[in-house]
Amino acid sequence: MKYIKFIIIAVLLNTAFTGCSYVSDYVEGAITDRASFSVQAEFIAGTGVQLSWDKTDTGGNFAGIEIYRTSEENDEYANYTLIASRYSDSSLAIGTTKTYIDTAPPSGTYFYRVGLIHWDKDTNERTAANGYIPAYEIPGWDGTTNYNAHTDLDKVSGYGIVTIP
Amino acid sequence: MKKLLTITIAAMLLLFVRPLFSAVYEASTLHNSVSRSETVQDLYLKRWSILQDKNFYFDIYGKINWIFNLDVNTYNAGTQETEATKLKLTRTYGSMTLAMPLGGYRETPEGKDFLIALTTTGFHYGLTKTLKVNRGDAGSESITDYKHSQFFDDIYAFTFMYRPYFTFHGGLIYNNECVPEDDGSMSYTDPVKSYRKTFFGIQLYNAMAFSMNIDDGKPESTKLAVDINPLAGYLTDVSNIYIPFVTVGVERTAAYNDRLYDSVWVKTPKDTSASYSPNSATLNILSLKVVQRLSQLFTVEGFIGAQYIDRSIYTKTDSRKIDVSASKEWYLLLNFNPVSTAADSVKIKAYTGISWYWDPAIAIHRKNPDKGNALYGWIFGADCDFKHFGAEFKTEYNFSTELKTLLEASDKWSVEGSIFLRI
Repeated sequence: MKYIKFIIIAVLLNTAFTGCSYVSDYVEGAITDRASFSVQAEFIAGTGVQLSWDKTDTGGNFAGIEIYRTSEENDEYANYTLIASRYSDSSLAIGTTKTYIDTAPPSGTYFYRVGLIHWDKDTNERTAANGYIPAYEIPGWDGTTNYNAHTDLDKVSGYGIVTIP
Repeated sequence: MKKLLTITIAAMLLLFVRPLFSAVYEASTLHNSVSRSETVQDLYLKRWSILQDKNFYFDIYGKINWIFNLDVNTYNAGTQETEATKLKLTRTYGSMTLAMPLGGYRETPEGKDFLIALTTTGFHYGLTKTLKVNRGDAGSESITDYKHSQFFDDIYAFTFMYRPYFTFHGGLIYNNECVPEDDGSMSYTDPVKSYRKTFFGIQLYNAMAFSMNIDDGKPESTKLAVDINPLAGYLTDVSNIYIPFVTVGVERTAAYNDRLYDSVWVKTPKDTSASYSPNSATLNILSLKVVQRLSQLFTVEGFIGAQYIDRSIYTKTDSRKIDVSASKEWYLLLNFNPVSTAADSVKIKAYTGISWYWDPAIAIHRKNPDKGNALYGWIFGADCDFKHFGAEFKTEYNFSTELKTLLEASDKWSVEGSIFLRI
């Protein structure tokens, strides 16, 4: 009987894994910050570039959303530069936000990405002993010094391409 | 933890990566499912060669291998042109085995027991592009996009062991190809191509290992390895650790099939602008491996392989007949691996060595094609195997065992790390 139980558990586990190739790739993708969700970019005359994405983040370590744009036009492989964060637009401090408008985009073809940012420690570990400045412990305050020193890119979108006249 | 990992990876890059100026690839040249099946099967059998003497219930193993700076013709949605782009070849490997003794595990390595096991082993293989993201005062981070087709090869296998006499492995190999979105992301759920092959392996008396994979009813790859020492042990005493351990191997692979991604034409050069009847050639390899203990701390390992290709092969670049070398491969490794004093004790190994490897595709993938089809290589690595967990690390440049699985690694550094958990 115990062997039958073992075989059933093994088959279930094997089925659950549905191929170690996918699991191992998923792990490598998490280590190297692989693009894991999509963003759409659309130019609206008089408004700017409207971005919309299909991912939210309500985890306990969520620190903010960041918006990036390629630093050079017409190059998919150019470096990306930060254009907005929770400190320039308060809606980006909310994990359920799924849109953003870049009101002053430059002319040309550009690529946008969305990053989901996490604190490097759980809530109860963001203390002076772990390098956080003490002011962090004041409720509701999480100042840029801590943010810049203690956050990582947790997930990043693929690119959204847009041509701005 | 993630930061620590990033720093470690960055340090590896600083240490080992140099600018390289190799050939520009079409991604399609990396699509050979024959060699990928062999690779996932080899990885499976290699893992089992470690597990077969252990008493365990669960083993999980993961490995990541990166090869940097492959120039691959890749579309740039900004310039709207296809251009040589530096990509990273990412190979990941995962394995999970559940084992159960029928009637309890043996207490000594000489004892007898029955064991059944289920294993799923997977190998991902694909190109990725690394990009920089400047987060302002929060610093810079790297991100990666999938580029070109991604390949996912999995084995689902059943193992029956009657130790120390007999082992049977049998299962299915699935090759899936997924195409990423233009934006660099990808869904696993919708492969554009899928193949299924069967494979089996038999081991007798811990001395003879035979394996075969079968595609469409025909054997694609067949391997036989015989360890001489356990057989000689029936005639004389071979327990002295200073007696060299000798293994003889024979391989037969349907290696050249006139496919577009093959590096050579078989029998006659073909004109790809018209339809043609493909020919096949079989690669036969006869090999000899000797491991000699030098002292309580060191061993030396030598391997030499001779080859015979049963039909003429021709270059695709200028239709020239290729003069096939009688030697396929040799390597020499110096290992620091102290003699174990008890079963399941801590095993630590560090090794370095040189190699030589011949293949008709090397001229295509090396920096200077005029230098021919053979390459000398170098390796450095270290393994630690504690009772329930362990890790491996290696870096290599043109080492033969790496070129055997991926010729595109010619004249490129390769870095690999792996960890395992065994209960």
